[in-house]
Amino acid sequence: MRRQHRFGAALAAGALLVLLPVLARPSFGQAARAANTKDDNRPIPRLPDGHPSFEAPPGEKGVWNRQDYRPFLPTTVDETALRDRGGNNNDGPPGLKPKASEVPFQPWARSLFLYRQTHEIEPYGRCKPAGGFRNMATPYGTEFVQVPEQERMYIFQTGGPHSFRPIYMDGRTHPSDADASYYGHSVGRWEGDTLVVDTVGFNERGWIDAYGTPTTKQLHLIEKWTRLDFKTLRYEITIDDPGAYTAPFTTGMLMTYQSGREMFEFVCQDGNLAGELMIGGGNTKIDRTSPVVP
Amino acid sequence: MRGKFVSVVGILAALWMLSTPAAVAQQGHPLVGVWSGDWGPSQTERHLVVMELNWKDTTLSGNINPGEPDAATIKVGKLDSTNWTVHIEADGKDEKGNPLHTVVDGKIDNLGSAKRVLSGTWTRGATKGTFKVTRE
Repeated sequence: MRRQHRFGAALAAGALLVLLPVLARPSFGQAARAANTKDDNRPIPRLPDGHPSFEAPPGEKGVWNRQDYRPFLPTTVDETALRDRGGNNNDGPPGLKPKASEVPFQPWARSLFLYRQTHEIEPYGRCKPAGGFRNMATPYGTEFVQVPEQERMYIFQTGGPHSFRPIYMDGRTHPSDADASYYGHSVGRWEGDTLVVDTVGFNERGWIDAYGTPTTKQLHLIEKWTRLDFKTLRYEITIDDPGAYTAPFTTGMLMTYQSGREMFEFVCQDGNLAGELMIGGGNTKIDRTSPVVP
Repeated sequence: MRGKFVSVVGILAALWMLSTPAAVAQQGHPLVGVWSGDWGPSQTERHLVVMELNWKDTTLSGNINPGEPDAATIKVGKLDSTNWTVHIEADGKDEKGNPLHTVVDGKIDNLGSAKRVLSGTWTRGATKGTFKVTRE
Protein backbone atom coordinates (compact mmCIF):
# COMPACT_ATOMS: atom_id res chain seq x y z
CA MET A 1 0.00 0.00 0.00
CA ARG A 2 2.79 2.40 1.02
CA ARG A 3 4.68 1.44 -2.13
CA GLN A 4 1.59 2.38 -4.16
CA HIS A 5 1.50 5.84 -2.52
CA ARG A 6 5.18 6.43 -3.24
CA PHE A 7 4.63 5.40 -6.87
CA GLY A 8 1.66 7.77 -7.18
CA ALA A 9 3.61 10.68 -5.70
CA ALA A 10 6.52 10.05 -8.07
CA LEU A 11 4.12 9.90 -11.02
CA ALA A 12 2.50 13.20 -10.01
CA ALA A 13 5.89 14.89 -9.58
CA GLY A 14 7.00 13.64 -12.98
CA ALA A 15 3.83 14.84 -14.60
CA LEU A 16 4.25 18.25 -12.97
CA LEU A 17 7.81 18.52 -14.28
CA VAL A 18 6.60 17.70 -17.79
CA LEU A 19 3.58 20.02 -17.67
CA LEU A 20 5.21 22.97 -15.86
CA PRO A 21 6.59 24.66 -18.98
CA VAL A 22 3.22 24.26 -20.70
CA LEU A 23 1.26 25.58 -17.71
CA ALA A 24 3.62 28.53 -17.35
CA ARG A 25 3.12 29.53 -20.99
CA PRO A 26 0.48 32.22 -21.50
CA SER A 27 -2.81 30.99 -22.90
CA PHE A 28 -3.86 31.83 -26.46
CA GLY A 29 -6.03 34.65 -25.21
CA GLN A 30 -3.31 36.04 -22.99
CA ALA A 31 -0.84 35.84 -25.86
CA ALA A 32 -3.23 37.67 -28.17
CA ARG A 33 -3.79 40.39 -25.59
CA ALA A 34 -0.05 40.69 -25.04
CA ALA A 35 0.53 40.94 -28.76
CA ASN A 36 -2.13 43.63 -29.06
CA THR A 37 -0.56 45.64 -26.24
CA LYS A 38 2.89 45.26 -27.74
CA ASP A 39 1.60 46.30 -31.14
CA ASP A 40 0.02 49.54 -29.96
CA ASN A 41 2.90 51.75 -30.96
CA ARG A 42 3.83 50.11 -34.21
CA PRO A 43 3.50 52.36 -37.25
CA ILE A 44 0.68 51.76 -39.71
CA PRO A 45 1.88 49.12 -42.20
CA ARG A 46 2.06 50.31 -45.78
CA LEU A 47 1.88 48.75 -49.22
CA PRO A 48 4.84 49.10 -51.59
CA ASP A 49 3.03 52.03 -53.24
CA GLY A 50 2.85 53.84 -49.88
CA HIS A 51 -0.85 53.43 -49.19
CA PRO A 52 -1.91 51.92 -45.86
CA SER A 53 -2.14 48.17 -45.64
CA PHE A 54 -5.15 46.68 -43.87
CA GLU A 55 -3.64 43.18 -43.95
CA ALA A 56 -1.79 41.37 -41.18
CA PRO A 57 1.93 42.15 -41.44
CA PRO A 58 3.96 39.45 -43.24
CA GLY A 59 4.46 36.43 -41.04
CA GLU A 60 1.72 37.45 -38.62
CA LYS A 61 -1.92 36.60 -38.11
CA GLY A 62 -4.65 39.14 -37.55
CA VAL A 63 -8.24 40.07 -38.39
CA TRP A 64 -10.41 43.14 -37.92
CA ASN A 65 -13.37 42.98 -35.60
CA ARG A 66 -16.24 45.40 -35.10
CA GLN A 67 -16.23 47.43 -31.89
CA ASP A 68 -19.92 48.23 -32.21
CA TYR A 69 -22.47 47.66 -34.88
CA ARG A 70 -25.57 49.72 -34.29
CA PRO A 71 -26.17 52.03 -37.31
CA PHE A 72 -28.12 54.69 -35.40
CA LEU A 73 -28.53 55.75 -31.80
CA PRO A 74 -32.08 55.05 -30.64
CA THR A 75 -33.86 57.89 -28.90
CA THR A 76 -37.04 56.01 -28.09
CA VAL A 77 -37.80 52.46 -27.01
CA ASP A 78 -39.51 51.82 -30.35
CA GLU A 79 -36.27 52.60 -32.17
CA THR A 80 -34.38 50.06 -30.06
CA ALA A 81 -34.09 46.47 -31.19
CA LEU A 82 -35.91 44.14 -28.87
CA ARG A 83 -32.68 42.26 -28.15
CA ASP A 84 -31.02 45.52 -27.03
CA ARG A 85 -33.76 46.70 -24.72
CA GLY A 86 -32.05 45.15 -21.74
CA GLY A 87 -29.00 47.29 -22.48
CA ASN A 88 -26.28 47.05 -25.10
CA ASN A 89 -23.17 49.18 -25.21
CA ASN A 90 -23.19 49.26 -28.94
CA ASP A 91 -23.04 52.96 -29.68
CA GLY A 92 -19.42 53.56 -30.68
CA PRO A 93 -17.53 56.79 -30.09
CA PRO A 94 -19.43 60.11 -29.98
CA GLY A 95 -20.09 61.77 -33.30
CA LEU A 96 -19.84 58.73 -35.52
CA LYS A 97 -23.50 57.68 -35.61
CA PRO A 98 -26.63 59.78 -36.11
CA LYS A 99 -29.63 59.53 -33.83
CA ALA A 100 -32.41 57.46 -35.38
CA SER A 101 -34.60 60.57 -35.24
CA GLU A 102 -32.08 62.35 -37.50
CA VAL A 103 -32.17 59.71 -40.24
CA PRO A 104 -34.16 61.06 -43.23
CA PHE A 105 -36.41 58.04 -43.65
CA GLN A 106 -39.28 58.08 -46.10
CA PRO A 107 -42.44 57.22 -44.11
CA TRP A 108 -42.60 53.60 -45.34
CA ALA A 109 -38.93 53.06 -44.60
CA ARG A 110 -39.25 54.39 -41.05
CA SER A 111 -42.30 52.18 -40.44
CA LEU A 112 -40.47 49.15 -41.79
CA PHE A 113 -37.38 49.95 -39.69
CA LEU A 114 -39.54 50.17 -36.55
CA TYR A 115 -41.31 46.93 -37.48
CA ARG A 116 -37.97 45.17 -37.79
CA GLN A 117 -36.92 46.18 -34.28
CA THR A 118 -39.41 43.62 -33.03
CA HIS A 119 -39.47 41.25 -36.01
CA GLU A 120 -35.83 40.36 -36.42
CA ILE A 121 -35.96 38.11 -39.44
CA GLU A 122 -32.53 39.11 -40.68
CA PRO A 123 -31.49 37.43 -43.95
CA TYR A 124 -27.81 37.49 -42.86
CA GLY A 125 -28.68 35.41 -39.81
CA ARG A 126 -30.04 32.87 -42.27
CA CYS A 127 -26.78 32.70 -44.22
CA LYS A 128 -27.53 35.32 -46.90
CA PRO A 129 -24.75 37.73 -47.89
CA ALA A 130 -25.13 41.34 -46.75
CA GLY A 131 -23.39 44.39 -48.14
CA GLY A 132 -22.39 47.69 -46.61
CA PHE A 133 -22.33 48.04 -42.85
CA ARG A 134 -23.20 44.38 -42.23
CA ASN A 135 -20.32 43.28 -44.46
CA MET A 136 -18.00 44.85 -41.88
CA ALA A 137 -20.00 44.05 -38.77
CA THR A 138 -19.66 40.32 -39.09
CA PRO A 139 -18.70 38.10 -36.18
CA TYR A 140 -15.32 36.35 -35.89
CA GLY A 141 -13.40 38.86 -37.95
CA THR A 142 -12.94 40.43 -41.35
CA GLU A 143 -9.86 40.17 -43.50
CA PHE A 144 -8.79 42.52 -46.28
CA VAL A 145 -6.67 41.09 -49.07
CA GLN A 146 -5.04 43.85 -51.09
CA VAL A 147 -3.59 42.90 -54.47
CA PRO A 148 -2.05 46.09 -55.89
CA GLU A 149 -0.51 44.31 -58.86
CA GLN A 150 -4.02 43.30 -59.95
CA GLU A 151 -5.43 46.70 -58.94
CA ARG A 152 -8.13 45.16 -56.79
CA MET A 153 -8.80 44.05 -53.27
CA TYR A 154 -11.10 41.59 -51.57
CA ILE A 155 -13.00 41.62 -48.32
CA PHE A 156 -13.42 38.24 -46.69
CA GLN A 157 -15.65 37.79 -43.68
CA THR A 158 -15.46 34.84 -41.34
CA GLY A 159 -19.06 34.83 -40.16
CA GLY A 160 -22.03 34.68 -42.47
CA PRO A 161 -22.27 32.92 -45.81
CA HIS A 162 -18.56 32.18 -46.41
CA SER A 163 -18.24 34.51 -49.35
CA PHE A 164 -16.09 37.43 -50.48
CA ARG A 165 -16.51 40.85 -51.97
CA PRO A 166 -14.23 42.20 -54.74
CA ILE A 167 -13.35 45.90 -54.97
CA TYR A 168 -11.89 47.07 -58.26
CA MET A 169 -9.12 49.66 -57.91
CA ASP A 170 -8.18 49.98 -61.59
CA GLY A 171 -10.18 53.11 -62.36
CA ARG A 172 -13.09 51.36 -64.00
CA THR A 173 -16.62 52.68 -63.66
CA HIS A 174 -19.75 50.76 -62.76
CA PRO A 175 -21.19 48.71 -65.64
CA SER A 176 -24.47 50.07 -66.94
CA ASP A 177 -26.00 46.59 -67.16
CA ALA A 178 -24.66 44.94 -64.01
CA ASP A 179 -26.80 42.20 -62.56
CA ALA A 180 -28.17 43.22 -59.19
CA SER A 181 -26.39 41.37 -56.40
CA TYR A 182 -26.12 41.14 -52.62
CA TYR A 183 -22.78 43.01 -52.42
CA GLY A 184 -23.30 45.23 -55.45
CA HIS A 185 -20.51 46.39 -57.75
CA SER A 186 -17.67 48.17 -55.93
CA VAL A 187 -14.97 50.45 -57.30
CA GLY A 188 -12.34 51.95 -55.02
CA ARG A 189 -9.70 54.64 -54.93
CA TRP A 190 -7.38 56.23 -52.41
CA GLU A 191 -7.94 59.76 -51.13
CA GLY A 192 -4.71 60.30 -49.23
CA ASP A 193 -4.62 57.50 -46.66
CA THR A 194 -8.37 56.86 -46.85
CA LEU A 195 -9.77 54.10 -49.02
CA VAL A 196 -12.99 55.29 -50.67
CA VAL A 197 -15.30 52.69 -52.22
CA ASP A 198 -18.37 53.44 -54.33
CA THR A 199 -20.97 50.68 -54.70
CA VAL A 200 -24.19 50.34 -56.70
CA GLY A 201 -26.17 47.46 -58.19
CA PHE A 202 -27.70 45.93 -55.07
CA ASN A 203 -30.57 43.51 -55.15
CA GLU A 204 -33.21 43.87 -52.47
CA ARG A 205 -32.66 40.55 -50.76
CA GLY A 206 -30.51 41.61 -47.82
CA TRP A 207 -30.28 44.08 -44.97
CA ILE A 208 -27.24 46.36 -44.90
CA ASP A 209 -27.00 46.10 -41.12
CA ALA A 210 -28.22 43.89 -38.32
CA TYR A 211 -30.98 46.35 -37.40
CA GLY A 212 -32.97 46.23 -40.63
CA THR A 213 -32.24 49.64 -42.13
CA PRO A 214 -34.41 49.48 -45.28
CA THR A 215 -32.89 50.00 -48.71
CA THR A 216 -34.04 49.61 -52.31
CA LYS A 217 -32.38 48.77 -55.61
CA GLN A 218 -31.60 52.50 -55.92
CA LEU A 219 -29.08 52.15 -53.09
CA HIS A 220 -25.73 53.84 -53.65
CA LEU A 221 -23.09 53.43 -50.93
CA ILE A 222 -19.94 55.41 -50.32
CA GLU A 223 -17.71 53.67 -47.79
CA LYS A 224 -14.49 55.07 -46.33
CA TRP A 225 -11.84 53.16 -44.39
CA THR A 226 -9.13 55.05 -42.53
CA ARG A 227 -6.54 53.24 -40.42
CA LEU A 228 -6.21 55.59 -37.47
CA ASP A 229 -3.36 53.64 -35.87
CA PHE A 230 -2.02 50.11 -35.89
CA LYS A 231 -4.98 48.72 -34.03
CA THR A 232 -7.89 50.90 -35.12
CA LEU A 233 -9.80 51.18 -38.38
CA ARG A 234 -12.47 53.84 -38.84
CA TYR A 235 -15.33 52.77 -41.10
CA GLU A 236 -17.67 55.43 -42.44
CA ILE A 237 -20.63 54.74 -44.68
CA THR A 238 -22.86 57.16 -46.58
CA ILE A 239 -26.24 55.74 -47.55
CA ASP A 240 -27.72 57.39 -50.63
CA ASP A 241 -31.02 55.77 -51.55
CA PRO A 242 -33.76 58.02 -52.95
CA GLY A 243 -36.13 55.05 -52.87
CA ALA A 244 -36.05 54.90 -49.07
CA TYR A 245 -34.66 58.24 -47.81
CA THR A 246 -35.24 61.89 -48.56
CA ALA A 247 -31.51 62.68 -48.42
CA PRO A 248 -28.18 60.87 -48.05
CA PHE A 249 -26.88 60.34 -44.52
CA THR A 250 -23.69 59.01 -42.95
CA THR A 251 -22.92 56.64 -40.10
CA GLY A 252 -19.99 54.42 -39.12
CA MET A 253 -18.14 52.39 -36.55
CA LEU A 254 -14.65 51.56 -35.34
CA MET A 255 -12.93 48.23 -35.84
CA THR A 256 -10.08 46.72 -33.83
CA TYR A 257 -7.16 44.75 -35.20
CA GLN A 258 -6.80 41.49 -33.32
CA SER A 259 -3.35 40.02 -33.58
CA GLY A 260 -2.89 36.28 -33.44
CA ARG A 261 -6.30 35.47 -34.85
CA GLU A 262 -7.08 34.33 -38.32
CA MET A 263 -10.08 33.31 -40.38
CA PHE A 264 -11.42 29.80 -40.08
CA GLU A 265 -13.91 27.78 -42.04
CA PHE A 266 -17.26 29.01 -40.82
CA VAL A 267 -20.18 27.58 -42.79
CA CYS A 268 -23.32 29.34 -41.69
CA GLN A 269 -25.55 26.70 -43.24
CA ASP A 270 -24.16 24.00 -40.97
CA GLY A 271 -26.44 23.69 -37.98
CA ASN A 272 -27.68 27.25 -38.34
CA LEU A 273 -28.81 28.40 -34.91
CA ALA A 274 -30.01 31.88 -35.84
CA GLY A 275 -33.43 31.20 -34.44
CA GLU A 276 -32.02 30.40 -31.03
CA LEU A 277 -28.95 32.61 -30.85
CA MET A 278 -29.20 35.62 -33.14
CA ILE A 279 -32.63 37.02 -32.57
CA GLY A 280 -32.93 37.36 -28.88
CA GLY A 281 -32.16 34.08 -27.22
CA GLY A 282 -35.05 33.09 -25.02
CA ASN A 283 -37.03 36.27 -25.68
CA THR A 284 -40.42 34.91 -26.60
CA LYS A 285 -41.71 38.33 -27.67
CA ILE A 286 -39.66 38.16 -30.87
CA ASP A 287 -41.57 37.04 -33.95
CA ARG A 288 -39.98 33.94 -35.47
CA THR A 289 -42.89 32.95 -37.67
CA SER A 290 -40.66 32.96 -40.74
CA PRO A 291 -37.43 31.31 -39.57
CA VAL A 292 -36.17 30.66 -43.09
CA VAL A 293 -35.59 33.53 -45.50
CA PRO A 294 -35.73 32.12 -49.05
CA MET B 1 -49.87 -1.55 -61.64
CA ARG B 2 -49.71 0.13 -58.25
CA GLY B 3 -45.99 0.77 -58.75
CA LYS B 4 -46.65 2.40 -62.12
CA PHE B 5 -49.30 4.64 -60.53
CA VAL B 6 -46.88 5.69 -57.77
CA SER B 7 -44.22 6.46 -60.39
CA VAL B 8 -46.58 8.62 -62.41
CA VAL B 9 -47.66 10.47 -59.28
CA GLY B 10 -44.01 10.93 -58.32
CA ILE B 11 -43.09 12.31 -61.72
CA LEU B 12 -46.07 14.68 -61.70
CA ALA B 13 -45.17 15.84 -58.20
CA ALA B 14 -41.56 16.47 -59.25
CA LEU B 15 -42.69 18.40 -62.34
CA TRP B 16 -45.04 20.49 -60.20
CA MET B 17 -42.24 21.27 -57.76
CA LEU B 18 -39.89 22.25 -60.59
CA SER B 19 -42.49 24.45 -62.22
CA THR B 20 -43.41 26.27 -59.01
CA PRO B 21 -41.18 29.31 -58.59
CA ALA B 22 -39.82 29.70 -55.08
CA ALA B 23 -40.64 33.01 -53.45
CA VAL B 24 -37.55 35.15 -53.29
CA ALA B 25 -37.24 37.36 -50.25
CA GLN B 26 -37.63 41.00 -51.13
CA GLN B 27 -36.44 43.26 -48.36
CA GLY B 28 -36.96 46.65 -50.03
CA HIS B 29 -40.27 48.46 -50.39
CA PRO B 30 -42.88 45.94 -49.19
CA LEU B 31 -45.12 46.35 -52.24
CA VAL B 32 -42.47 45.71 -54.88
CA GLY B 33 -42.79 42.48 -56.82
CA VAL B 34 -45.31 40.27 -58.53
CA TRP B 35 -48.46 39.41 -56.60
CA SER B 36 -50.95 36.79 -57.71
CA GLY B 37 -54.31 35.55 -56.49
CA ASP B 38 -57.90 36.25 -57.32
CA TRP B 39 -60.72 38.72 -57.03
CA GLY B 40 -64.44 38.43 -57.49
CA PRO B 41 -67.88 39.62 -56.45
CA SER B 42 -68.73 36.37 -54.61
CA GLN B 43 -67.18 33.23 -53.16
CA THR B 44 -68.12 31.28 -56.30
CA GLU B 45 -67.23 33.83 -58.97
CA ARG B 46 -63.49 34.43 -58.83
CA HIS B 47 -61.08 35.81 -61.45
CA LEU B 48 -57.35 35.24 -61.52
CA VAL B 49 -55.36 38.41 -61.01
CA VAL B 50 -51.68 39.31 -61.27
CA MET B 51 -50.30 42.62 -60.02
CA GLU B 52 -46.84 43.79 -60.97
CA LEU B 53 -45.74 46.60 -58.64
CA ASN B 54 -42.65 48.82 -58.78
CA TRP B 55 -41.29 51.59 -56.59
CA LYS B 56 -38.99 54.42 -57.65
CA ASP B 57 -38.10 57.41 -55.49
CA THR B 58 -41.52 58.09 -53.98
CA THR B 59 -43.81 56.69 -56.65
CA LEU B 60 -45.64 53.37 -56.87
CA SER B 61 -46.30 52.18 -60.42
CA GLY B 62 -47.19 48.96 -62.17
CA ASN B 63 -49.82 46.94 -63.96
CA ILE B 64 -52.74 44.66 -63.28
CA ASN B 65 -52.95 41.55 -65.43
CA PRO B 66 -50.17 42.68 -67.79
CA GLY B 67 -50.40 41.20 -71.27
CA GLU B 68 -54.02 40.18 -70.84
CA PRO B 69 -57.05 41.71 -72.63
CA ASP B 70 -58.15 43.32 -69.38
CA ALA B 71 -54.71 44.74 -68.55
CA ALA B 72 -54.79 47.96 -66.56
CA THR B 73 -52.07 50.49 -65.83
CA ILE B 74 -51.77 51.81 -62.31
CA LYS B 75 -52.37 55.54 -62.20
CA VAL B 76 -52.60 56.06 -58.44
CA GLY B 77 -50.71 54.08 -55.80
CA LYS B 78 -50.63 55.02 -52.14
CA LEU B 79 -49.26 53.22 -49.11
CA ASP B 80 -50.14 54.31 -45.58
CA SER B 81 -47.30 52.72 -43.64
CA THR B 82 -48.82 53.58 -40.26
CA ASN B 83 -51.17 50.62 -40.79
CA TRP B 84 -49.82 49.14 -44.05
CA THR B 85 -52.97 49.88 -46.03
CA VAL B 86 -52.82 50.32 -49.79
CA HIS B 87 -54.95 52.29 -52.26
CA ILE B 88 -54.51 51.64 -55.97
CA GLU B 89 -56.39 52.99 -58.97
CA ALA B 90 -55.81 51.59 -62.46
CA ASP B 91 -57.22 52.24 -65.91
CA GLY B 92 -57.78 49.69 -68.68
CA LYS B 93 -60.44 48.57 -71.10
CA ASP B 94 -63.22 46.00 -70.98
CA GLU B 95 -63.91 43.31 -73.62
CA LYS B 96 -65.69 45.86 -75.83
CA GLY B 97 -62.87 48.36 -75.62
CA ASN B 98 -64.64 50.70 -73.26
CA PRO B 99 -62.63 52.43 -70.53
CA LEU B 100 -62.67 50.50 -67.26
CA HIS B 101 -61.58 51.91 -63.94
CA THR B 102 -60.33 49.63 -61.16
CA VAL B 103 -59.99 50.63 -57.51
CA VAL B 104 -58.15 48.41 -55.04
CA ASP B 105 -58.10 48.99 -51.28
CA GLY B 106 -56.21 46.48 -49.19
CA LYS B 107 -53.91 45.77 -46.31
CA ILE B 108 -50.55 43.98 -46.20
CA ASP B 109 -50.37 41.08 -43.75
CA ASN B 110 -47.34 39.09 -42.62
CA LEU B 111 -45.10 42.00 -43.58
CA GLY B 112 -41.78 40.28 -42.83
CA SER B 113 -42.52 37.21 -44.92
CA ALA B 114 -41.36 36.64 -48.48
CA LYS B 115 -44.89 35.46 -49.20
CA ARG B 116 -46.73 38.38 -47.65
CA VAL B 117 -50.40 38.82 -48.43
CA LEU B 118 -52.39 41.79 -49.71
CA SER B 119 -56.17 41.57 -49.38
CA GLY B 120 -59.23 43.79 -49.26
CA THR B 121 -61.86 45.18 -51.61
CA TRP B 122 -61.77 45.32 -55.40
CA THR B 123 -64.02 47.52 -57.55
CA ARG B 124 -63.96 47.07 -61.31
CA GLY B 125 -66.33 49.37 -63.11
CA ALA B 126 -69.67 48.81 -61.43
CA THR B 127 -68.67 45.42 -59.96
CA LYS B 128 -67.56 45.26 -56.36
CA GLY B 129 -65.88 42.34 -54.65
CA THR B 130 -62.98 41.14 -52.59
CA PHE B 131 -59.44 40.15 -53.49
CA LYS B 132 -56.48 38.35 -52.05
CA VAL B 133 -53.02 38.20 -53.64
CA THR B 134 -49.76 36.73 -52.38
CA ARG B 135 -46.33 37.99 -53.27
CA GLU B 136 -44.56 35.46 -55.51
